[in-house]
Amino acid sequence: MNLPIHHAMKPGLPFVLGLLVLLGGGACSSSTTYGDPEGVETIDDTFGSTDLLMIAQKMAESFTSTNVWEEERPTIVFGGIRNRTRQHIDTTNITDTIRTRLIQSGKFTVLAGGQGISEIQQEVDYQQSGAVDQAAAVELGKQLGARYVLYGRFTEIKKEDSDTRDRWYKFTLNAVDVQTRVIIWAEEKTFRKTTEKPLLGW
Amino acid sequence: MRRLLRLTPGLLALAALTAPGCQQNTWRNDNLSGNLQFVGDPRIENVVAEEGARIEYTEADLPVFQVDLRNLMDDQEARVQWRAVWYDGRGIQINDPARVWHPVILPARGSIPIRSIAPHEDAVRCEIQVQLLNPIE
Repeated sequence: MNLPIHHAMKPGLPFVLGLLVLLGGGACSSSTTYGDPEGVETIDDTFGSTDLLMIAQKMAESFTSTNVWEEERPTIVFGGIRNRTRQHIDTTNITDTIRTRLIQSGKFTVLAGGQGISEIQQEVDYQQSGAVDQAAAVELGKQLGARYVLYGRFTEIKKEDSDTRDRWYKFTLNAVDVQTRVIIWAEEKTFRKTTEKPLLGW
Repeated sequence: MRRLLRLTPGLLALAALTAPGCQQNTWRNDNLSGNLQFVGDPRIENVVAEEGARIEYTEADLPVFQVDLRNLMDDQEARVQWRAVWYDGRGIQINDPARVWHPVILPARGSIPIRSIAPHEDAVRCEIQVQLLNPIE
């Protein structure tokens, strides 16, 4: 039986509409899973979690395994890490992990700096406000001074052509003796990330 | 039967020595020990093998374990990842806030040393885990 063309098309319309609804629904739904926080992340060539942890581990391993300190348990404080890459990178995220590992090693006395000092000052001010029993208040002038300050720099060299984008990263950390200005320890971590550009888009 | 039982440990040891991918030794130095463990996809055993290893103390009295990884393939690079897990004398895992899987590319027939320094001086045993590179993409 030969049906007119518009008869043959009719059953297809609900099917197409249903397909659009399904596709639309799929596009609106999301799927979230937990992943391995230690896993290698290669979503793109920008700075990522694997890079942060590799840097922190290399720095902490080198720092804890050296024996250049004059004291048995050196007193250290973290200064700043200058971000000289073209990316927005929270470098305190890196020093936080290094600091945690150094504290947990039990080999250093790590002093609060930056944010920690302002938190301490706020508490000291409150204790001196008259609201706190002075017998329970901390004694002023008893804070330790750091013998060594850690500071560093994070840089990148970026190159690209029509097919590839390449980023070479270098993280440098130094420990300087506050008393003498001598840099008594330094370590670097370098790594390269390369992305093949897709044929379309970018 | 009794003779077979006597031979069995020797045969098992021989099999362990000759079977491909089973050359995972435990390296010892006084109270320290370290070993390399393949995890994940078992095809890793056809891709890389461990060579020499050493475990000792650094000058700051922290254990350091180093093992050489060799690419078994003649004509292509091997992409693997590794991480180190340290244990104390009671067998309790020592926390390492910076622990991470390290991606490694081994050239064809090439080898590289991988090294881990313990996060705490209580560490006495290191297990380096190696698996095929399976990145989060």
